[in-house]
Amino acid sequence: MAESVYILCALTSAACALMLLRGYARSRARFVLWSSICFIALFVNNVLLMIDKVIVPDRVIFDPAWRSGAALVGLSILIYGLVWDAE
Amino acid sequence: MAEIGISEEVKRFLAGNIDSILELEILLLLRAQSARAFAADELARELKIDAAWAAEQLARFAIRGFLARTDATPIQYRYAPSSPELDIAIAAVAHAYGTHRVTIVSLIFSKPASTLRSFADAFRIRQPGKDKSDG
Amino acid sequence: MNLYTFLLGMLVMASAVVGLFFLRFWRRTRDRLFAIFAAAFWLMGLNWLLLAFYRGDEVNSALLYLVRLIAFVLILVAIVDKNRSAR
Repeated sequence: MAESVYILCALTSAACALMLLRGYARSRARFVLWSSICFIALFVNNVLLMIDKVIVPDRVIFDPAWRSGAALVGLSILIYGLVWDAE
Repeated sequence: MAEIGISEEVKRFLAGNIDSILELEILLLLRAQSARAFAADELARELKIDAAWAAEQLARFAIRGFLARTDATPIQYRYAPSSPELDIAIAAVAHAYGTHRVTIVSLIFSKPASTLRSFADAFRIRQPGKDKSDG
Repeated sequence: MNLYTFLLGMLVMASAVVGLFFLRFWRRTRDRLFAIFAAAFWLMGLNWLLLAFYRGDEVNSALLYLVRLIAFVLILVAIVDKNRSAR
C-alpha cells in the first residue's frame, strides 16, 4: 500500500516535470521552468521517501530533514516564480 | 476594466480560446458560412494570410471542438461545434463582436497571462500547434 | 524544536501560499486546472502538517498516505480533465 502511494506520487511528479519542461521548451515562459523544477524536487522527495520507508524500511538512509529540504527547495523556487514570473 | 455589456460566457470563451482578432474572424467567418467547408488554402486566399498558419489555426479549432474536419484532400473544415453550449457561447461572442467591437478587441489584446496559458497548455498531451501571429 | 519540524512548518506555509496563488489564477483564467492544483498543494500542506504532529506514529501513517495520495491523484485528475475538455 505504502509502496504504491509513493510510486504514484513519484511518477505523477515526474510526469508533471516532463510536461512542464516540454511546455517551457515551447513557450520559453520562465514560470513554466520554475514549476517544472518544483515537480522535479517533489519527485526527488517522493523517491527518497520510498527508499526510506519501503525499500529499506529498517534503516533510515536519508535524513528526514534532507528529504523535506528537497521538497522545500522546490516549493521555494515555485514561489519565486509565482511572485516574479507568473504574470 | 469596464467591459460593460459583455457576458461572463463571452469573456471566458475569449480568454480560453482566442489570442488574436484574426483567429476570431476566422471562427466567425466559418460560422457565418456554416454550410461551406473551407480548406486552409481557400481561407488564406480569402483573408490574405499565410496558408500554413491558417492550417494550424483550423486544426487547433478542430481539436477544441469548434470545427469538424472532413477527410478530403485537401483537408477541409466546417463550422460544427461539438456541443450546444459551445454553439451558444460562440453565437454570443459573434453577437458581442457585432455590437461591442471595440470592447471585444481590447479584451483580446489585454489578455492576461499567456504565461498561465502556457502553464495550463503544458499539460495537454496533444499540443494544439500555434505560432502567434499578429491579428 | 528540531530542524526537521521547522522545515515541515516551512513546507506547510509554502504549500498554503502556492495554493493561494493557484486559486488566484483560477479566478483570473477560469481554468479548472488551477483550482485543482490549488487543492492539491493545500493537501500536500496538510500532509506535511500532519507529519509535523504525528511523526513516527504508525496508527496515523495510513492517514498521511491517504492525504498525500489524494493530493497527487488530484493532479492526475487535473491533467486528464485538461486533455478531455476542449478547453
